Amino acid sequence: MKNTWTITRKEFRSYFDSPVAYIYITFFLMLSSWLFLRGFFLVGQASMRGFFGILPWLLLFFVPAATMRLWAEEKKLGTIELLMTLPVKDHEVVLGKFLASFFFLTVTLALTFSLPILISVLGDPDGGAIWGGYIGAVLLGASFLAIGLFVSSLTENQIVAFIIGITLIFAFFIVSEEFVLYNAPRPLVPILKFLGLGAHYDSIGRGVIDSRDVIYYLSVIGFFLFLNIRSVESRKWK
Amino acid sequence: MAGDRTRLGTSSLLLVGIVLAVLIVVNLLSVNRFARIDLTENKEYTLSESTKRMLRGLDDVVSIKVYFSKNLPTYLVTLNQAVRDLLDEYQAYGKENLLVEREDPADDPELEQRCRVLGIPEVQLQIFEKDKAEVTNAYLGIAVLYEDRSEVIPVVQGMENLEYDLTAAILKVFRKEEKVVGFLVGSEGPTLEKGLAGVKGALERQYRVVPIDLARGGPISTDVHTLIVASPKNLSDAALYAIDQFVMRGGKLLAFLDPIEIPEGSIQALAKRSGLENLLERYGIEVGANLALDARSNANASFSQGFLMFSMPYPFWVRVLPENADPNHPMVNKLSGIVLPWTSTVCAAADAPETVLIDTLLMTSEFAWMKTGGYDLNPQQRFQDAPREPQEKLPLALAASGIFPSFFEGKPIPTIDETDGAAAGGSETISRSAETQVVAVGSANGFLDDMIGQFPANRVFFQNAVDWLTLGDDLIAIRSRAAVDRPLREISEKGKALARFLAVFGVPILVVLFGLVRFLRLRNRRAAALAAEERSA
Repeated sequence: MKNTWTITRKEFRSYFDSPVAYIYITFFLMLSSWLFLRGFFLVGQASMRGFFGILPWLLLFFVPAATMRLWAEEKKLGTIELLMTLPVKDHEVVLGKFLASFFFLTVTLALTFSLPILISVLGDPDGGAIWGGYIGAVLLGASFLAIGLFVSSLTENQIVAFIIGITLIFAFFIVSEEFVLYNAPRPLVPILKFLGLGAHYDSIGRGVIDSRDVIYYLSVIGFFLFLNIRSVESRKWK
Repeated sequence: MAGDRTRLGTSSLLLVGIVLAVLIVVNLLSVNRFARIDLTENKEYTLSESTKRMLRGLDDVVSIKVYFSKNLPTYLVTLNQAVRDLLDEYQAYGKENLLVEREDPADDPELEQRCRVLGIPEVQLQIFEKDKAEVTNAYLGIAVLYEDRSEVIPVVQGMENLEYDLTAAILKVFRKEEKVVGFLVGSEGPTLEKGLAGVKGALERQYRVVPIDLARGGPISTDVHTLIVASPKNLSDAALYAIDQFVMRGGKLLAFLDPIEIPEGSIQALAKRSGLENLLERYGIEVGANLALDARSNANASFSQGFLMFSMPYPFWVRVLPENADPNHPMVNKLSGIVLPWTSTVCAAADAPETVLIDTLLMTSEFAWMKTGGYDLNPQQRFQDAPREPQEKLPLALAASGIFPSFFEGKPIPTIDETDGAAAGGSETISRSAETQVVAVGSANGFLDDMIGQFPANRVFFQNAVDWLTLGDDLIAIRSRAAVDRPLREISEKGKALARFLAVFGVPILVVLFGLVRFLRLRNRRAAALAAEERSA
């Protein structure tokens, strides 16, 4: 646990040591607020629904960007061999990297708190629904991170990690979208609906936390972290 | 060595498979035992217990088709979202036995035809854009289908009662056992065949309607769920006893009372009491021996004089304005245009039992008064001069729920015939009812065939009343939802621009500043470290 924590701190710090993180956060905040506010005054409701509606699509691009470096760079620079010769276990490294990117995402999301503050000045929003939305965003984001991190461990090219990451997350996200379900064969519908990262986000996004959705997200996170550990371990038998 | 690697690889894949299997099992288990926490302030997304129970009880696929147009005006965007959210909640509990599909009939002639057959109309909506009002057509209906049965909500107007309507619709299409509605006959009033054929048709689509004849006393069969008494006349004590004991056993009673009797061809009416009034009074419902008149809100009545037909505002035909129907009661809050002709007042009795909760459903406008005694029904009389009495809102219909005391408590059981001494059914009087409901309306004439032709809302009211009572156990607990509206304060264009600017650039500027400060501090620290190194060197 101590090792994990050390790695988390090191990776988290390294985000902020380069200007990339600041550009990343600034861009994310500006884009999300701008997209959200475009329709906000038109609908005229003191609600964050619109924001949480566009968030998955933003995270789809931002999360792989935040995770692509984590393994690919180590592989490219060869530091992975060094890292793995240290007296730390594989799962500690995986968990450390995941937590670092998780905290980075949480900080980014926390900085969007200016929006609910602004909305409470302009109207009387439902606090519970907004908290629900953030919980949903964190769970969804963490699942994206786990997938992105796993993909990063498969390659030493960051761009490849970025693109495959987006593709895989996108695929997982849209299988439960209406237009996919509409064209899918009937027996597959419930399975696709269950598998989709998006379907589980809907109800949390409006403030209803369902144990099934939480268990699903934790399963996705757990499974991809496990795959990540396996993939890191695979250097022993490849 | 190579064999070792293959073995490691295979075992690794096997492990992945095992982990995946465990996760699938955990998720499958979680599907059946789940909890939902609603974080919203007003528990906006929490379904009532009865809806959840109904949804869990589904053991076959019921399908809900939402026929909403895609291009709705902006003011309906929130409603559209709210409907979607509510159906998501239904889906969460109905799981695979609830199939929710959304379709837009606008560009699909086949679907449009289907909507017409189902009874979902295309409605005209006003859109205000750039200070211009335009009219657009759209669909806002929902159909609930099961096997060959269908129930529709033709136009979703708001969220207030959508849960009630949806749950009622599902209950109706998915009914397992047919509920029985009894109709009291033989009291010289109108019958289901003569005079009430219109409402009968509506009832038979959902219930088994049986005639109840109490001429030989009771008891009323325990199969009967709801008893309708329309325009009763001279009910015998034995009949009253049977009705009372029916209510005591938890039966639901729907009473349409007639305060007057109009001899054929006459415009002078006689007061009429059936005996049911005494029973109702004991239950906490006072049926006035009067006629209500409304000077402002009334319907036109047609009369003939010789060969001349004329139509004129007739204060005896009270038109209930939407604002005078209980806004929280699903039985009436969506209805406008209910007309109660020749109606008496129905209000909570002064000494109503504490165990009974009474909701006034329908009222006159505040320009109403009552007439008692001799009734001159002539439409040409000078109504405006007549009321010297204070004008006020008068209650015309109510719903009572709770535990009712028996009218026959402590009284001997009435017999049909003194000579044979046959008991009127039941050997022991039940003195307190189970939890049940009674609905009383001051007019029966309003539901006759020619009246519901003129005033279609009356038929809907009749049907709602029977539904509310008969499906009641499943529906009563469904509260009406508060509107899901959280509007922004009025704000000038300048204010909006400022808000936009702050939201888009405020925090990012702070982030950039923080980054710069950190960068400068790092640089200084490095420079200092370098200088120290140089010095030591």
